Amino acid sequence: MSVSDPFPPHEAVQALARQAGLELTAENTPGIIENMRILQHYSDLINTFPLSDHCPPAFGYQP
Amino acid sequence: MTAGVQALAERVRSRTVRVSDSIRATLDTITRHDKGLNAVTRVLSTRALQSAAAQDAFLEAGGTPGPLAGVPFGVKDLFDLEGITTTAGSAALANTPPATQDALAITRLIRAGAIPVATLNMDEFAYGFVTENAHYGRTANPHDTARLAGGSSGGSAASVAAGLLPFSLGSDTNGSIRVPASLCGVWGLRPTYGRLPLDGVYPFAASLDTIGPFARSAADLHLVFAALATDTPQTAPPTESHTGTLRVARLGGWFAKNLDPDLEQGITRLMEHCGTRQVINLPEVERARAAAFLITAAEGGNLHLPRLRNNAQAYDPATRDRLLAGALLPAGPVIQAHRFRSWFREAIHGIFRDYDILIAPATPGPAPLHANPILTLDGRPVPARANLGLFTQPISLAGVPVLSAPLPCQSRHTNTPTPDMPLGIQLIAAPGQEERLLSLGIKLEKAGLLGRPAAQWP
Repeated sequence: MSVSDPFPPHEAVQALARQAGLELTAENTPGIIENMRILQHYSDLINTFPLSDHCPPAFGYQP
Repeated sequence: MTAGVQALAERVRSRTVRVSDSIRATLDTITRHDKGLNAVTRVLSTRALQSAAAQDAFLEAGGTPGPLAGVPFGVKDLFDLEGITTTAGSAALANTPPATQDALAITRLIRAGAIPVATLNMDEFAYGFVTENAHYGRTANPHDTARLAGGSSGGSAASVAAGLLPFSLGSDTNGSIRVPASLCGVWGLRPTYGRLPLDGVYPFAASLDTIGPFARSAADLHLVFAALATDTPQTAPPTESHTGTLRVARLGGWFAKNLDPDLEQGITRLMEHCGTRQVINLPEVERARAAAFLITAAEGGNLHLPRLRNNAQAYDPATRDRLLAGALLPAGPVIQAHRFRSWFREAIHGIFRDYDILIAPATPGPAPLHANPILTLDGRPVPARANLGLFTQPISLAGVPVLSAPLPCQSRHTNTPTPDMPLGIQLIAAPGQEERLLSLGIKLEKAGLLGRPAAQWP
């Protein structure tokens, strides 16, 4: 995974899938990679927002 | 067309009509008029007629009719109904055993006198904004069948808009009530997260999931919500509470860009009626949407992972790929998204210390064409499927209640390409303020600022 293209290539997606107990077909993989790129964009947005160490996750969320 | 909730219940209460006759007429309407709409996945004729006969016998014996006496309704195909397999719009659950009891929300409506008559189409596993289902087909928009109904509760919105049903139930994780309500021109309520019971509702992303009703008027929606929100059987319709003087503002920034001009005018008219020009900006809206997106992908992916390992090919390819990508998300951004959610919650609570109601668009404009599902955002064409939740998804993250309301027909200029297509707005309040929202909705509907008639269907 490079900094310029932070997204895992085909083999890395296959490795991640094996870790999760999934066997991906060649047919599935491009669609998954496309969706993972979208999620990567959203992850970057979230990860670049500074949060206090005392800001807890909202598990058991109460509005 | 089936009459509204209040009118139907009143006819039963006044003994103007027998429940069996009313239900039979509704079943007939659904059977004849769902063609070309494809909002209904199953008609529950036997069960509905048995319930109607039992209610007639109860009333003839002197029983007191409930506030929803004899009112038929439909449910998105992710609510359990005793004796029926809950599909959640997927073939992947086709071999699941039938539900052993009704979802709690349905039980509450039945206690109030309502009668379930149909299950309704949806995006597979509620993961979408268009109600184009690989297994059960596409639900059309009854105002123009070439256009999207919205989703994922598209069958629930379209069936009410077309007059097949007086009200329906749907679910809203990221906008799945508000988007189809807006595109089909009906009222919809996403209640405060946790306010209505999810027992017997097939989950999508548990920490964002809510359920709520659709109806053709704010008053009808109020009646249905009152029945849904209590375990105590009611004997009388709820009374409208006073809204008093409300501090109203519209959301600017993210929520003021990319709007259809008629939608902009409709919101301006509402603001003038409310006597305010206040515009406020929610902070970090794009990140709020991102957080909701990530939490949804991770929770949805995790939920389906065991079945994806063994039976991935049973899924709609579009849903499958999204769920698989979510299942492979690392923990870091998901935990960060939940932490951001805590921060965002505090930010929105701060705003509600100064304001009672926030106004925002529900969708950027009218329903896109099915054959060309494109929105124009910041001058660029983008896929509607992924972006119809632009204005609903950030609000979902906060878990606050939102009333989706149609603007009146006269909001549209006749020189627009879609002069008769609905436009919808969101009225947003602090947690637990559904009554305030619904009362305001009723008031604005009476003033002619919100609400529109059913579609001319068929």
